[in-house]
Amino acid sequence: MKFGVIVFPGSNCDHDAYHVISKHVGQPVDFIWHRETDLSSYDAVIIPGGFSYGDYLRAGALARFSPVMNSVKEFAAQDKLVLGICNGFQILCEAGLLPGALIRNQELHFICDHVNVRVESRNTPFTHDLKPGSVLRMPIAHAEGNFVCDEATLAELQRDERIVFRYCDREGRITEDANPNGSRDNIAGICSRGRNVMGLMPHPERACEDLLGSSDGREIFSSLAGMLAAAA
Amino acid sequence: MSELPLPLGEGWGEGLPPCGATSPNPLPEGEGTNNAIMKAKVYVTLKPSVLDPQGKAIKHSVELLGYGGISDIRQGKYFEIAVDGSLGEAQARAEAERMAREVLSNPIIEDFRVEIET
Repeated sequence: MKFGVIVFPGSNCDHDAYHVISKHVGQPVDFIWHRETDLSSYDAVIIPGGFSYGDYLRAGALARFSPVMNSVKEFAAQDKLVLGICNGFQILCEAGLLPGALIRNQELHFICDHVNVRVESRNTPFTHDLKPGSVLRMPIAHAEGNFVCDEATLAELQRDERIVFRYCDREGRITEDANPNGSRDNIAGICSRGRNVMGLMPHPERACEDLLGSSDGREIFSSLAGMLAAAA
Repeated sequence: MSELPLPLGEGWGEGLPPCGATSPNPLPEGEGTNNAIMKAKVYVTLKPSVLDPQGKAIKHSVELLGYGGISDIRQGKYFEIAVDGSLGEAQARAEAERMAREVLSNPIIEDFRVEIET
């Protein structure tokens, strides 16, 4: 199985994602510059965190027009796996691969902190090895992580179990206090209708070594790798 | 300002190339048309249903300064687009609206309004 990490001007979590795939997942991985268009040799691509195009206009808005994004859309349409982390989540929403939008945090601050998220659905390739209801501790680092969507979209996400992660307290309770940014329904991550595209604001790639405060993120990558191995 | 219909479907559909030189120009190729300076002004605002934490913070600051009688402040974005004189006003509006819809705004959270200054 082969992974690709897409690099936009301004991406800054690309090396973290590359490190996790090569060291912890133990699989081949390439950086893919945003002007590339051939994704045919990859089984999964990661759109990493950062500030693509300096967050000009809106976070993720300009990255959507990079040549690689048309290829990512085709890639996703072929049921291949796309994981968007933080700015990657924002890009996937702007590109229409995931519903909703991520706007300025409710309290306006850039938040850099560890948060707890509860696994709401294990019916995705990214979470299928996780225990339902289990709590993962991962860092967030964003100013625009406040997930918004209309009533109909929220109802669809809830009905189809496409809310994958929700912000919670240590015990796994979904509370207003545990919601760091004002996200609707405490949403921290969602998946596409086909369940092969997932976006989340927390950084699992920065939570893969105990030295960094948490290794809970490894479960997401090992789940993903397990799914790809089973499909091979 | 008079209400103008959205100039959609008049040869400015999704599939067409932008700013096509072959597109019909509704204005006569009269004197000065090619050198006319036009400006498209695009106002992008958050939909009323979307919370605007920046606007709220600005309102709070303004009130601290003693300004009274303010019930709400919403922050938006403003774009000035200098338009090549080869486009007629209707075309310039259509192009600015398409640009606003596809790039300048995110229709999930924002509305936009276009004005043409000739």
